[in-house]
Order: sequence, then structure tokens, then C-alpha cells
Amino acid sequence: MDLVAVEGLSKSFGVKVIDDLSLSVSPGDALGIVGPNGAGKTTLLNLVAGDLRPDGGRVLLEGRDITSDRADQRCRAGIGRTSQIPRPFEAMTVFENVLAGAVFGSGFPLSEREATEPAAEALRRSGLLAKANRRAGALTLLDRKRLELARALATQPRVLLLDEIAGGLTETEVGELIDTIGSIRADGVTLVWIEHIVHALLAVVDRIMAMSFGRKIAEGDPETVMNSPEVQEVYLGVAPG
Amino acid sequence: MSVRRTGQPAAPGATAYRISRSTAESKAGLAGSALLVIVLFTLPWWDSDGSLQTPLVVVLYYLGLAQMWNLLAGFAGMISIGQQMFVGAGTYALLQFAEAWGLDPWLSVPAAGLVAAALSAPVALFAFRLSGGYFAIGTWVAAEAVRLLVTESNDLRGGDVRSLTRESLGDYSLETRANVTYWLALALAVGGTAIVVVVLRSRVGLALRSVRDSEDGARSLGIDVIRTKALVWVVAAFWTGCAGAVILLSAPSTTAASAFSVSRWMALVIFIVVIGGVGSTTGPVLGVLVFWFIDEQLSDAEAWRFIVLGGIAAVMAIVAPRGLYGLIQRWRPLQFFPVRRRLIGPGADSS
Repeated sequence: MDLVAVEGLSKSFGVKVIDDLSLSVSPGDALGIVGPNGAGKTTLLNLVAGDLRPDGGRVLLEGRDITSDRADQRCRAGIGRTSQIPRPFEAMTVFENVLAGAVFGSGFPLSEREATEPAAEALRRSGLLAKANRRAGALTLLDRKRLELARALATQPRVLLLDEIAGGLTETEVGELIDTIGSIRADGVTLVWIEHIVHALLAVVDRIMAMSFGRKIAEGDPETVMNSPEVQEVYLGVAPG
Repeated sequence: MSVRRTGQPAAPGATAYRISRSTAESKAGLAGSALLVIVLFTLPWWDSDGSLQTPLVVVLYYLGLAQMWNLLAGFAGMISIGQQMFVGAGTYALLQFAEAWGLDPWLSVPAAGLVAAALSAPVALFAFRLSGGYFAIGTWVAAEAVRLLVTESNDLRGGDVRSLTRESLGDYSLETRANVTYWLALALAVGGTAIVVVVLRSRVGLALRSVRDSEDGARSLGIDVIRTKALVWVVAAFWTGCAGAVILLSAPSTTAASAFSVSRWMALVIFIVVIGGVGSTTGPVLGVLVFWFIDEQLSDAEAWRFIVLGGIAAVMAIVAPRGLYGLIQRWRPLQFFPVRRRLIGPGADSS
């Protein structure tokens, strides 16, 4: 059975941002989503994570309709996410940020003592352990991105939605991030990753979906999709020849 | 141990990590607080002329009110300007229980708190739909609506001056009444501070501070935002209602205009918290000391008290938005109440 599926999803903010989109992700999949700015990628993620409600269509988690569930319910059901613009709890320490995810984000609330180990593990994997007791508001962009990842990991997700987590980072930093995300995948966490930095995506995912104007224009193995005329046209501005 | 959904291998030395909350100054802070509470508790025995006891009743119930408002505004991001509705509800509940029904006035104090808590539920149903400035205005409007209902009510007669009579205060002597009222005010202050510390140390506190910093971020980590807010909203209403009852015991006459006064029970409370430091447990304590000092200097001029305290609060909001406590923190990051969590273990920083 599909782990996550969306069926005929539509969302409009005056103009159609997501237009009758369907998609399914099996357990263990690593799906990359590409498309130009304004293609509706982040909106799609927000609809799956529950930050937005669709105008039409359904979102399913293991066959269960979760379209009317709130974001916090979907998180506890196993959907973790990072945000394109990091939203750390600035007045709290890095550890407290991650602890919040570990305590509240898994299926049932853990005690802080029970949550300490998963929180420390999420910090270690994200490379933030040595900054655990700093104030989150004082972090650099790279560390804020790492904190997004650590918090999402601490919720022990079954599917992790990554929204342009490599954006704004240097090549070296992107390389570190690829290693981290690759190891998360190796642990069996299903990934849905939106990214403009295509080589980062290609290093980890095994399937790519390309979007344009809220519609799916191609889906399949990365090489075929990236070389398809439709994607070349919308993504690189190359007319199919 | 936790259930690992993702089957992540446990880190080497899987029980190596723990949380520490206390710091050297928080241990000193707790010991000092305990000593202060004991000294204050015994005050009726050594302050025989009541020269400290009488003003302290006011200072202490204001501290209780300030801690509760700070819990909402400072730690949950719920800037209510309607807490006077729970003060008034507590006051009128006590009048009803003790005066109309003849119940014991002291035991009626927690019952008055329950009335305020019950009132907070329907208010939450509409106020929680609002956020930021609209929440502030919404709570104020609700408080005014409750004040008008009490004023117009034939049973509560909020338009008249009403008093706790000698009968409803039972056979208690004047001295006993003064002492018990003082101890109740002390309980409001100490209990109010303890509630905030206990909440912040608990998981609810972790959720609250998350919600304050980013509601969307909190939701994406599985935190039920509405439930978290509702919990502290009701707790604050209960405690504020108890304060309303104690306020009546300390000055046994009231009108709805006075019991639901936005300037006395809201503006002054906001000034105290802003001066002391929003979002810290120590802040309201510092703020109430400033309030006490100003109050002593300007005891003959009610209007000047508002002008001076409001002026200080306005200046503080601009030059030191985290209040006196924030100024102390700039000098040294002291934490007198142990509410922050530090991760202790291999690889974790010790800052």
C-alpha cells in the first residue's frame, strides 16, 4: 500500500496553484520534486503536511484519509517536515527546540526523559550536538537548516518532507547535507524532497516528479525526467527540438 | 525507552544523555525564595502594628495577578487585556457565596476561582479565533460585556456599592480576618509564581514556549496549539479569580466598575510585568517591587501612580524590552528559577 498518496488535489489562491494533481509514494521511496519558482511545489508540501487545506481532492496516509486532519495530527501520524524558511523557536535553546519535536511529535507524547535520547540522536545526525545548549535565535543559516532537519527527525517520521533544505548553502555544506540525508534514507525513512539544487537531489532520490503551473509534467527515473523535452523546456527554457 | 518508529540504531552509550535544569544561581534562588516565603509567612507575628502587612497584601496579590498575565502574554504569546473579567468574576462569586448563600468566606476563595475558570471557557471559544492585537481587543470587549451584565443583573446588583458584612465574615475577629487575608495574598503570590515555574518545567511549558515563538513551527512538531493555549488560559483564569476574591476580602466593599476595572487590574498589571520583564519568571517579582516603591511615594495621588508607572513602562518597552530582568541578563545570564533545559552528555556543548 502507498505510504502517502494525493488524489486529484487542487488549491487556488485566486489563481490555481495546484491543479488536479495525483501522486503516490511507497514506503522506502525517495522522491524528488523539481519545477520552476511558482510551480506549486511548496504548496503541495503544505497540503500534504496539513499547513494548508485543499479546495478539492484528498490526502491519504497508508490509505487513511487525513485531508481534514490538522498539521499537528499529521505530524503525530508520521509526517515530518522541514520548512523552506526556517522557523526555529528563537528564545529556546537548540536542544529545547529538538526536544519539543521528540516529546510531542511521535505517536504519543513521551516524557522528557524518554525523549532525551532521540533528541540527542537527532542533534548528532544533523551536526548540531556541539551547539545543543545555544539559543536557537543566534544560529547561522546553515545551522538553522540543520535545526529544521533535527527537529523533524526528532519526531521520528515515517515520511520526511524536505522543502529546499539545500537552498542558500555553499557547495561544501550541500555535500555534508547530502551525506546526512542519504543516511536518513538508509534508515528506511521515506523522503519527499523539493530542491532547486538538482545535483543534490540526484545524489539521493530514485524518482523525480517535475511540476509546472500546479501540474505534474513528468515523473519517473531521474535521468529520463530531467532529460525529457517538457522538463527541459520549463526548467531550462529550452524549446523541445 | 521510547518506541523508535524509524528503527534508528541507538547511539553508542544509549543512556549517556540527560537533562539538567538547575544552575548554581537557581539553587541559590530557590533557597533564597524559600527563606523569603518563611519570613513573609511569619510576618503577622513580628509586624505587630501591621505597617508592613497592610501594603504587602496589595503587593502580593498584584504579584499573583502579574505572574498569571505573564504566563499568558510572556510565555504563551496570548496578550489578553481582559483579565479584569476574571478578577471581577472572583469578586462577585465571593459576594454571592459568602453574602447571599452564607458559605465560609475563606473556603469560597477557591470556589470563586472555579467560577472564573468556568467563565473562561466560553470566552476562549470566541477569543481563540482571534490572534495578536485582535485577541487583545476581543478579550477586553468580553470583559466589558461581563461587567455590563453584572452591573445590570438584579441578583448581583453591580451598579450598587456592595460589601461583605460582618455576618458573612462570621465570628472571625478583625485580627484573624486581617491575618488570613494576608496569608491568602501570600499564597496568591507564592502559588502564582510556583504555577508558572511548574508549568514551564513540564512538557506543557516546552509546548507553550514553542507556540509563542512560532505557531506553525509548533504544529509541524506535533504540538496541539489550541489545547496548549486553552490549558494555561483556564489555569490563569482560575488563579486570577481567586485573586479577585482575596481583593474583596482585603477591602470588603466594591462595585462592578471597581471589580472589573481595566486600569486597576489590567493596566497596572501590564506595567508591573513590562517593567520587571515579560517572559521571565523573575520579571514580575522585580516589577512588583518597583510598583511597591512608587506606590509608597505616591500613595496620596492615585492618578500620578498611573502616570509614573505607565511612563516607566513606556520607557522600558523602548530602551529595555525585556525589562529589569533583561538588564540584569545583559550583565550576566542569571536564571533564578530553574526552568531552562540543558543537554548533558558526550559531544554536547557546556555553554
